[in-house]
Amino acid sequence: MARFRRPLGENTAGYLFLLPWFIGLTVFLAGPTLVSLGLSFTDYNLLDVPNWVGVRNYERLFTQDRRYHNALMVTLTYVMFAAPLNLAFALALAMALNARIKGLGAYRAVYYIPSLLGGSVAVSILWRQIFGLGGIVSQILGFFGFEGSSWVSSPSQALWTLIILHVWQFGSPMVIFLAGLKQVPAELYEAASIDGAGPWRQFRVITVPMLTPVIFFNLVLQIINSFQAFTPAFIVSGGTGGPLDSTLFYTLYLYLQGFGNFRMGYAAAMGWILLVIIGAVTALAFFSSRYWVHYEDAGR
Amino acid sequence: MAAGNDTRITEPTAAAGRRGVLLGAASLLAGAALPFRRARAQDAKVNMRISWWGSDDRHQRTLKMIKLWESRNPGATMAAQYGGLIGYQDKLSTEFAGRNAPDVMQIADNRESLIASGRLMLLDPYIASGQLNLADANKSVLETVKVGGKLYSIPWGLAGGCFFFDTKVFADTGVELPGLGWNWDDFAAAARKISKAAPKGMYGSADIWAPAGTRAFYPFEFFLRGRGKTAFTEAGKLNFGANELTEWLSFWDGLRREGAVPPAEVTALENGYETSPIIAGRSAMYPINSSIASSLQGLSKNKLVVGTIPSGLGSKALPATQYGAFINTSMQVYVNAATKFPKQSIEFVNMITNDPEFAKIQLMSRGVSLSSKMAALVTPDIAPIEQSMVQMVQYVQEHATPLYVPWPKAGSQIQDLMQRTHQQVAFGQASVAQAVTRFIDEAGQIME
Repeated sequence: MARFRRPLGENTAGYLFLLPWFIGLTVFLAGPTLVSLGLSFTDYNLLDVPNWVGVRNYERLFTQDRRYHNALMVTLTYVMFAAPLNLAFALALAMALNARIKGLGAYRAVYYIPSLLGGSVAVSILWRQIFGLGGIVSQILGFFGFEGSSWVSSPSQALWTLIILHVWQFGSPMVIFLAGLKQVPAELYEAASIDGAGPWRQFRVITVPMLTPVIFFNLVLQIINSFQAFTPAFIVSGGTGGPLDSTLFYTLYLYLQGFGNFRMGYAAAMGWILLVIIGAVTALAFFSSRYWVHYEDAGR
Repeated sequence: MAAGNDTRITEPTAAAGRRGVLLGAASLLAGAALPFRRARAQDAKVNMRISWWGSDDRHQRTLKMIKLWESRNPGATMAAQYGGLIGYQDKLSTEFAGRNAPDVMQIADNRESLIASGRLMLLDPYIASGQLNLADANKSVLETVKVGGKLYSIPWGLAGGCFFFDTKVFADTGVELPGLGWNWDDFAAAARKISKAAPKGMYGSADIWAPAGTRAFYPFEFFLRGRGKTAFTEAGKLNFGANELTEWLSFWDGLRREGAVPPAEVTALENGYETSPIIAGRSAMYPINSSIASSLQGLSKNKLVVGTIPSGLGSKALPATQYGAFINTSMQVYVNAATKFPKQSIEFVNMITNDPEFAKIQLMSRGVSLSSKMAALVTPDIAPIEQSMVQMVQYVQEHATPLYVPWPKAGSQIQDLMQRTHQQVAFGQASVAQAVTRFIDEAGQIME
């Protein structure tokens, strides 16, 4: 018996140290997550005791709620354009900043700044000004003879201003790409140039294949991030998702239903569907990665 | 052997000692929160919280009122929680859900839900006991803020739907300023004339779905009342049909096509009244609640004047049989039903209403004082824009009919639906007929 006492005692101390983290996990993450699953089957309105309504929230979302279907389309469009464009832009800049030029550190810092600012309220407000009527974009277009118009207040263009805002925040994927580029062995390029491969060909057959693990990693992060985008739409549209619900992101609609209309059960159901969607898309990315991601040591 | 024994004994002991230290450190970490709890439990003094939304002018004046209250109640504190309208209600709702709402507050939306679940204090007992004195208050306005015949709020200031006029644009275009008794035909005519006479990019009036302005519902409600109808039934269903909605949407669709009000892209630029067309130099008239009069004037170089929302009386476009507008004040003050300081909260609400020093500080930053005595007291101190606001409020009070049915729980959602419906027509995404069908359909879903 005595032999068992000692390991138990050691473990107790360990568990006690883990306790704050464990309490945090259960109370602030696992607990609420499970509760929200339960609430998604109720009519919880933030104020009163929830009543069980079965799958009515889900049924309504799938069959009746036109705004929900619109929000889903808006979000999918956003993810489809914002994530790849952001990566392309980040990769291009990482290539440029991988060159040997003077003051490289300064350039890298400067190009990273938008990512520090991008999610902020201030930049979203700035965006409204830039793409508004009489804003710099409409002035430049006006200079070239296009009729000055306001992007943020046009249902067909408002989403694009948010996509551009997302693309502009290329800092973190850029840094990750830079690290990836450093990993590509220089001898591969040397060998290729001796064999007469030009820069484009080197990019295609060396850089991209060698970078695929990094591209994959960035892609998964970007997909998840852009599904969860909220602040830019909230600020640029003044909290409405307008004009005409054209920037009504999934998360924004969820927020409006939950906190604006007090339909928290409904919002919880939306949250769980989003989780399933993100899970499915990420799984799809992982599945496809077998066919296009090359790990250097995999072939050995 | 002895040495061996020693090691056998000392090793576990040393380990136990280290364990003791570890355990001690860990339990210290775990128990770190305890002292805070104790400090809180001892706290029995008055520390209240109040929350409101508005512009800087209103913030400064309210903060001064709080200071005055604190100086009269030594040892008591009142924390202020304030900001703009966007996001205000979401935060407050969350606080209610977490049972952490302020003691005294303004409510922007969904007051019906909060009342239904018993979160707001019933004020009638305090009026009966004399702690809340409404002797000088306008009785008919108090009727319109009641829910189920009971009073849960009182207007912090009397205000209502109105039109602001930019006098300079009116003068420049040679159009006469409308009188308080104007109708929708007069409105349409003035808007057309101004659009025609003014330089390109200036329109007669802002559109009725101006995002921060009217949120597009109460002007319609006024129009319905002109026909002797409330917007909702007592049972909480729509009290209007496709006909009225079609008339209303068509009227605005027509004005948009004529260029009397701006195209949708221009209207959608508004992001709070700070960026409204009347401030951005794009319209001569702007519909919104009159409570922002002094703030709005502060943003404009030109002299602004407050006018009424037109009535349907004598109008051909939107005819009505009686006067439709009423004082639909949005600036109401509520007390949290769960407050630990009911006496002090009611006292503060009473001071807002009846205290001359409070009145001198707040002037008309939330509209005309509810008490006619206080209103008379501050009238010499107020700006011209506020004087025109007082006239508007008086006119509407004199003409308003007692017709009133409080909004159902889903009222705020119907209001949002109305704004989206206007947008669908304005952006050309739906014809008036299609938009009406969708409205009725979606309203049915919301109010189910």
